[in-house]
Amino acid sequence: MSRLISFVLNASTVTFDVPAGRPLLDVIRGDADLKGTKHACREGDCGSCVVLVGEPTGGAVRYRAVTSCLMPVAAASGCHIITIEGLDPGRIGPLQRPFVDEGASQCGFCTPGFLVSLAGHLLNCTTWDVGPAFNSLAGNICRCTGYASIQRATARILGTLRHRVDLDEPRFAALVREGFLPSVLRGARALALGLEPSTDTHGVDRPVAGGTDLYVQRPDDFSFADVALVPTRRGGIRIEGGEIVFAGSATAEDMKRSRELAAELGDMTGAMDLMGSLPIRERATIAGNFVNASPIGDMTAMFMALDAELELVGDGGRRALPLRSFYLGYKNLDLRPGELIDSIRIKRRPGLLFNFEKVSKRTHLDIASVNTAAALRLENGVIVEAGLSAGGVAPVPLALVGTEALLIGRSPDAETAWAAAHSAAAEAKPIDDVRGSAVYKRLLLRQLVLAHFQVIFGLADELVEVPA
Amino acid sequence: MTDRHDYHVNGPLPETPDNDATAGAWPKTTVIGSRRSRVDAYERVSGTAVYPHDVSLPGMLHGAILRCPHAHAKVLSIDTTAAEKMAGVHAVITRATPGTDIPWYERGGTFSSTLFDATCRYAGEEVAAVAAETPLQAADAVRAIEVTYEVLPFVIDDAEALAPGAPAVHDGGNMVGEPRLRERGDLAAGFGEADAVVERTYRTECQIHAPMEPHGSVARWDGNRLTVWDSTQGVFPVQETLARVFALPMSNIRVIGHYMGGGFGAKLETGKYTVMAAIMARMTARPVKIFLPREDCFTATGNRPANTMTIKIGARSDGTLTAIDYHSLGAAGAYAYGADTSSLAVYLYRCPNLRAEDVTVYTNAGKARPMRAPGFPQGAWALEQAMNELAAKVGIDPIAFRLQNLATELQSDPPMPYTSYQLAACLENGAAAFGWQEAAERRVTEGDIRRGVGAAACFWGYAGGPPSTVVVKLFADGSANLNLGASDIGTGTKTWAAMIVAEELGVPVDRIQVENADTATGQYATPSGGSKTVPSDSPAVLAAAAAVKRQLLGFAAEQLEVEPGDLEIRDGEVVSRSDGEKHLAVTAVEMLGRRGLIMGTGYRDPNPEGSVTFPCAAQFCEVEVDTRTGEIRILRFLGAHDSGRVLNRLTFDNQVFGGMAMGIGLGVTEERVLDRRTGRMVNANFHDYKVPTILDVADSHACLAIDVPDEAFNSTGTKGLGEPATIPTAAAIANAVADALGIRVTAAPLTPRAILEAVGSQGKEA
Repeated sequence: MSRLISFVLNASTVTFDVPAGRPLLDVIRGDADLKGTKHACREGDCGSCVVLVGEPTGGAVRYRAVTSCLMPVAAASGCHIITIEGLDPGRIGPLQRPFVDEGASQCGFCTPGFLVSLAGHLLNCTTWDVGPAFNSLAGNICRCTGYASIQRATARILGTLRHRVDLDEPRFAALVREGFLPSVLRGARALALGLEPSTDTHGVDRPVAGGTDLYVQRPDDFSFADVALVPTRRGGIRIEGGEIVFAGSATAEDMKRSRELAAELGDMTGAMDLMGSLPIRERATIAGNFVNASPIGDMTAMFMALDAELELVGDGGRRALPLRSFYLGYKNLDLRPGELIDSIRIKRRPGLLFNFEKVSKRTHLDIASVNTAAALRLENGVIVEAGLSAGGVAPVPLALVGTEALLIGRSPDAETAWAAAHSAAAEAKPIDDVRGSAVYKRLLLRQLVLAHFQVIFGLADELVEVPA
Repeated sequence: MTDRHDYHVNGPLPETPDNDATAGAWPKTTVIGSRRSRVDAYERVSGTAVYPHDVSLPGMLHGAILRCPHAHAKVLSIDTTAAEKMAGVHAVITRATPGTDIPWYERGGTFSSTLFDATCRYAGEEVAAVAAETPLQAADAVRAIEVTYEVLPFVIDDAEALAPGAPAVHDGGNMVGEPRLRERGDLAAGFGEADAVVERTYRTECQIHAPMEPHGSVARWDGNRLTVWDSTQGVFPVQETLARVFALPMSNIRVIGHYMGGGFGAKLETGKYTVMAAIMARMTARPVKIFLPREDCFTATGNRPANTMTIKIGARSDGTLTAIDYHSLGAAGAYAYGADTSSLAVYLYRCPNLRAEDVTVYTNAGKARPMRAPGFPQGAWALEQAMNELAAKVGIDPIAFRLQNLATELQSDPPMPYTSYQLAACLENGAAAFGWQEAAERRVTEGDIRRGVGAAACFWGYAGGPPSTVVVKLFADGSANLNLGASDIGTGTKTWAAMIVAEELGVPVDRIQVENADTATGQYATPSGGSKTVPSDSPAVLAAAAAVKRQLLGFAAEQLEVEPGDLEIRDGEVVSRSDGEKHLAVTAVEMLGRRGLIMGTGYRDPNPEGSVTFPCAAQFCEVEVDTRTGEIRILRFLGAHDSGRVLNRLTFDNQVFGGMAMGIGLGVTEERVLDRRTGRMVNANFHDYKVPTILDVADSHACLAIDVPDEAFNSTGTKGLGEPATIPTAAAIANAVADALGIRVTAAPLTPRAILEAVGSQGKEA
């Protein structure tokens, strides 16, 4: 069945009578006939289909760059969607000019995606430095330019805005003032703020939240379906007494941006940036990462080290379950039909030292060969609490319980690091696969466990030599 | 059926009509050599450029292709009954459909397959196609087709393909043709003279072109006239193939490819999908669009073959090369292709004694196709690493060692001079600009984070030639129209072409409209590929502009009563050189106004005889290697390139940086992985197949253009750039990594795993 779904598309309000699960990409290119948004993979890996999704919340609109190929159109309901056509002022504007001058468009097929991703970055960035900007473009693949021209163009844009826009002033208005967003978008944004918050997004067929795995794995099951949206970004991440509570639908970017979480676990930026690309992180939820049941889920490894507890909601009511008990075997979960992960809880432990490590063939936009997270707490110079997990080294995400036990009561020195590294490697049960041989993955896990000690305790030189 | 040519023009060069006028070399240029943004810049940044992938026609159906899941199988039966009954389905075609018995995959005049072959020789081979109202209906219908296969034994490993008893991909054994053997001098004597010899086996993995726009076409019939919008590197070969397939005059076939989203060699041939779309469009009397899913682009549209190269190379203690023994084995995949890699070993360095053999084998895997400098990056990976190792052995700096041994003429029999060959300048000036010595002194060979420098050199063995025809029209208001056949595959063809007209006619670039890549309205050009578009087509553009200029000045001379030779065009005015009083605005030339326009036709002149032309390059890089994780960080890259005259400095630099990224892919991140049990590609997506991202390329990029016009070669003094931009990159990285680690990892890609394992084994040896 189809539904009437309304949103603001670039400058005007549109309504389409379409299945709730139809990918936003297909609505934009098909129903709306805007062909500037490209697609080159339909799997969220290339960034050619990136659009901005502006969600009105509390009198403001937060714009996120997302891959429209993996997003059900129902999730756009009541939002302001900006495509490459929406960024076009009808001439070569200040956003586009440096791309033109630097020759940052060669075959040009990726160019719309880059410009939209960059606009998303400009709307959200907290610094005009190039590093975070390049990070936010890591989900956009270009096969022609080698990115040098795109880097130069991006640097020029940031250099201009650094002098013209105060980081604290309302960003949308500032970017319109400077011509980086067409002024017609200002009115469109106001239109979106005036839209009724959408409640008609709860279809009946099958639930979907971020969709970043479901739309890759089973696109046909969702594209025609009257999908039931599990609202993302509602609930978020909060402190409740002695616990940090995460909505199951909180996204990876929510984790990266959460001040509450940073206060408890330290800055998560580095760890989260290793996971997928920005347009994926904006949609990918914590619960989705868990139920996808990849043995190598990044957030799964993190929460396993943090010994999270799941709150599951289904027809049979609510029940709590440790994440460590959730995985029964390869892609086999303790999850009943109809059950969803409503929230995730971890205990607040002042002084907890958290670190996440991963190695893949390519540093970014990659599934890890091996990943690992560590959560350690010291009292009087010795480890009194230890959480250690590893992904990619067993059929399920692995809690390295033997190594955790070994760490208790020891001081965090090189000897301990090496003992943990060897113990972890011994606990792992990797297989040979496309991401590497078993021998390699064991070696990698050993190195990454050492890296935990380097990062958390500043051990460096002590770890260079392999002790006899 | 495949096209007559990839980007080479085979056989004798065609007769080239005399040009109306031949422009002289520009004494100095104002437009040419400058940094120019693209003539179609607005379309590119606004999303208004229409790619074939964007074409949507009234009543258009969407096609999908059923592919064989087995690496080797006989198709016993196909049942399309269920698929044909499905909602929205208008056509299902298989090998049983009349008109599909079309010979395909031509080599040496014979065809080894058909559009839908009874034998599938790789996992991904086409078995059937469907046209339906929506893409998902077509995909559903494809799944509803029932095929019975007789699964056959298969071979996917290139070395195993030659083993006794290996499954035969085709009748007659798995060798593709005869090995190519090139020899000179006395190899044994050469090694006898050598004081130092190194020998190693190198390996590069299969790389996929992976252009961003998927492969595909839209086909529409109007009676017996066919129009095809195709994402192609060359519209004319597609026209030719379709004319043969449908037994129609070429004039009935129009192929349009105004914009296209990248090819890198994968879009030189006519795709089976194009023919399938056209067949189903004719059957249904509806336009049909087939664009391949990304997975199919990975498995079924070509690749750079994997190669195993053994090189033994010797030098005297003074650094003079004495002998090279080179052997290369490469996999064509399921259909014939020459996976040769030896040309750099044969010609790059002066070496009197040489034996080079290239062996290509069939395997049950996706077919190789020309990919950006076919064979050369692989050959550089072997030769340029061996050169570094040998340089170290004789104690000479690797740059000096290369300079000492550079070949300055083609070592053919008899030898042939190069028209212009600035490789020494690439190495010397490049090393100076890079700060080679200083960088080498910063080398860090201990601790967790090592640092090293590396360089590699190359030439590219092709420089284009005729045919090419271009038309330039000058309108009465002084604006111009430029019409050429070449596809702009992202390299900036339209822009440099306009710049040449601007330089010659004094018309501003923004008053020149460029039309290209349309067989109905455009002039003839060979496909854009092989770094030959600039050197093949730019002289024709110049000749066309010069033909306009000759006529214009002739008319102006009558009006001003001077000799035409006394006139030149300056800022929109025709001016007498001898008498400054005599001048005339271009728009005031009466005959221009009376005629409405002046048209000039330009043809590409033949290449000079008795000489050979190669673009060449040297690239330099500095890397950090993390010995704890095996990760490589590329700190900086410099490319020093001799591609003759630089037309557009902006696109020149960017082309070099783009080539480097593709070389980083070959050297560090990319490889096709086939499942040994099924023969299927297991990483046929952008997540598991690692095209470098913005975070994987060098932290800083530099390009040094040598910019010496090759005036002996063609009228614009140009050579190509796209291929040499990527040839030395991977080898330079490998040399830098070896410099940092003190050990050589011989197999690409240099993944963290490969580095870590090498570092681990180094520890054991110590």
